[in-house]
Amino acid sequence: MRQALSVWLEATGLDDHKAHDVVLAVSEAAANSVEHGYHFDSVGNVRVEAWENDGSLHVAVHDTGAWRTPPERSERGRGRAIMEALMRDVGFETENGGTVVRMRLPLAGRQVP
Amino acid sequence: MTPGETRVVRRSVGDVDVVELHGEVDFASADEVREALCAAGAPTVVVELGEVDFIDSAGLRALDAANRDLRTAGRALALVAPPASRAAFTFRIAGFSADGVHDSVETVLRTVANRQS
Repeated sequence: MRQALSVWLEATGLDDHKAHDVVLAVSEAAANSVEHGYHFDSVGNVRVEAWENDGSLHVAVHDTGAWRTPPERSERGRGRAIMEALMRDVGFETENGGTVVRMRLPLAGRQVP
Repeated sequence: MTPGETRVVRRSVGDVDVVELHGEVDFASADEVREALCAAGAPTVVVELGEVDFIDSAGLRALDAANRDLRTAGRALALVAPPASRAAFTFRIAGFSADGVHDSVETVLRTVANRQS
């Protein structure tokens, strides 16, 4: 999944640093889906959509498991901290019994923490 | 090395085992990394992350777990991530405790040598 996304990001002309940020954020979103949506006990698919619009790169990571909010301040919270440090407007929604993580990256300028 | 692969290179420097990780440290390789760190036999294990291309929160959990395991066994884990490395970047944005993160293997070796003298 990361490999395919990296190739696509490279084709959009995104620089290496920004591409790494997006891949890391998407990886965290997918890991959240895998851990919280599926609890390791069933096989499900995580679908990643990415597109450009209005000067931003938008990403949506969908899964078909049931979302469970990770406990506050647990080590699981790091994944969310990483997504929020790298991307703007990180949102979690339920969708047809599954969950979707949405986020975007403005294409001008890079945020360095 | 194919994408997604993790490569482990070990060397011993006196009483210290240095475990150099290359490639990706993620959900898929977390267990392998934890085991590689705990398999080192020295009292101090240094994990060198400067050549890691990708590490996410699952990778950080693996480091935490190895640190706990080693500590329980009366041993110590030291992390090496130069400030410009991918690993140092992930540590910063994840709020991973910077205590015990060193800039270079040499810094750790000097600290250990001073402790012993």
